[in-house]
Amino acid sequence: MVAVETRELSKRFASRWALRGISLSIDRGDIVGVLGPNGSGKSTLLKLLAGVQRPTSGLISVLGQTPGQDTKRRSAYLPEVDHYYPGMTGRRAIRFLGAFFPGFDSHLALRLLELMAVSPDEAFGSLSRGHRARFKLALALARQAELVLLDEPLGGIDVLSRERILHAILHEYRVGEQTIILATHELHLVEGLFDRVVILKEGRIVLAAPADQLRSQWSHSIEGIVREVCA
Amino acid sequence: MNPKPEHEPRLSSAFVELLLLEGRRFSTPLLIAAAFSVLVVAQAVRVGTPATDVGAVLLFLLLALPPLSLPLLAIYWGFSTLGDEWRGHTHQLLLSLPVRGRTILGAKLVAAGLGLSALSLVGGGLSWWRLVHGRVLERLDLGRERFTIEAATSVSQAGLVLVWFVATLLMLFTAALLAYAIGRTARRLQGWAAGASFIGLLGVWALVPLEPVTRWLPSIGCQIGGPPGPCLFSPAEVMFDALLVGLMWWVAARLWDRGVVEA
Amino acid sequence: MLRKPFDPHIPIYVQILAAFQRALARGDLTPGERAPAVRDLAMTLVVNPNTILRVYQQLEAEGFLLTRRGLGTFVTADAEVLSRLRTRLADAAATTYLEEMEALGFSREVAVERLAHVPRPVPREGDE
Repeated sequence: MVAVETRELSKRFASRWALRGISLSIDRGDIVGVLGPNGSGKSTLLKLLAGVQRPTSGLISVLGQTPGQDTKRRSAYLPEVDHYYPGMTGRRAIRFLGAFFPGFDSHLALRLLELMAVSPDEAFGSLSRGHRARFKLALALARQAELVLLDEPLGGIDVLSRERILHAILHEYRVGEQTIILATHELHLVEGLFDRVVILKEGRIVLAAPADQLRSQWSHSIEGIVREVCA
Repeated sequence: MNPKPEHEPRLSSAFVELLLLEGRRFSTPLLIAAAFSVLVVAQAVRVGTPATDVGAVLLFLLLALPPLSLPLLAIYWGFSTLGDEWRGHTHQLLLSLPVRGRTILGAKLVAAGLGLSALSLVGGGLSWWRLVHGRVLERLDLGRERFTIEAATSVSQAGLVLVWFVATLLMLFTAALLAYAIGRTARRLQGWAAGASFIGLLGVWALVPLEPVTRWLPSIGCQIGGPPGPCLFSPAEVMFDALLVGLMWWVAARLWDRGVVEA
Repeated sequence: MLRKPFDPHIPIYVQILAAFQRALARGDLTPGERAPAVRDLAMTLVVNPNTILRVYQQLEAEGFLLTRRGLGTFVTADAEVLSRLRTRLADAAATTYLEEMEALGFSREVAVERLAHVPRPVPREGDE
């Protein structure tokens, strides 16, 4: 069962092509890594899948539909930037999201915040960088969405936060049912998570294959393969 | 696999949440309005109508503040209601919500409407009360030919003026909001695009001739007295403003939905 | 059981499968004992639960694990199966040694004889 499918997907900003001819297929239940250096189009791809942006050309199908209101409801998107209002506490954000996402489990959200050692009564803007990342992730995972899109969830944060984040992702992941697409340019600690990886370079796919298959073919870690392929 | 329809978000609670988000925008202006009210009432109670001309002029200037500052506030709000979202990256949160642009922007519009109405009522209402009933205008002896305000002492007349005023403020707000959205669709020079769009929209508003339409409408509320002339506070103006607001809101919502605003 | 972190240069599936086989052969997993939960193991090792699931499926196909519906996955209590595994792994290790010696030019007799002279390795910190 296919969770995501794209065919010749392209996105242009002004004169720059962020994505060119992206054709891929992601099965339901897979954890997929979208990898590549900064500026390779990872964020753009996730934004298109999230429905936050429209493609310039090509076909895109998320959970069997064109990205729109329905897919937004069925998928959880975590952007790279801190997208919550600085004055929002965890509780407030939980109430807010609960009004938009009928399946949102407030108790789970509070439990996840607790698991990540983030106080639900502290304002988002007053949290440290690592705690903001945990806050965002806790609420995204609490959505229990069929498709989870994480854009650099580990970006530049402390090791402890990274561990907690990976721990939480694995803890909540619904084996076989949930599809997770994780974009990152840092592979330390993370590469074991991926069933498949899609490596992007300058907006194009240079390699897309099961992670273990690549390890076997290259006798190299995914991190090493990405470095070599994107050099 | 088709999504189940019963999992649609309840629009009412979603809308309320969006309204509450806008609440923080109003806190400072409302505090200022409250301070203004206290000031005006205290002045009226203690001093009454000033005996001197200078006193009356000063009071007049103070009372003229709301009508002059509110349009500027409306424009500022219009640009910042989306501008703040982009600056703080919270537009990503809004864009990820499973509701259409018209809901998101509709909430902003309603919030602005409520806020501007409250401020107009407080600021405008108090000014009006002091100027007319407090006889400040009379004291300044500005004459009926110039302002013809004296006749507009009934509540319904004042009410119409208020409605007209708020409609104009909303028009300015929505024009600024749409201008910002249009600016966002430009690849470069977004600020210039927004500014130009705003001026363009104001131009449309100011220059569209209403006379062919108003000729056919009953001129209720236009009998404020004084010499005949363009009816400033007419229902036609209000309706035109409302129509324009609706149109601009719709266009902005379309831009939002089409994803062109996230340039 | 599996030393964390895993080696990212080798397919993770292969490493986990090998680690399980080793654990079974050594008796680290008690016959009849419940197998570690897929999710717990995934979280400990920071690997994809699907990979662990595939390992379990393979082990089940080979008869080392048994899934009882509603109760969970258990290590086989069949001593015969485990003994065959031990033999198989031992033979594989021995074959590797002998092939390596042959590649170095030693005869089989010399290779076997040399085994007696290999010093015992000093146990490393962290070895089970």
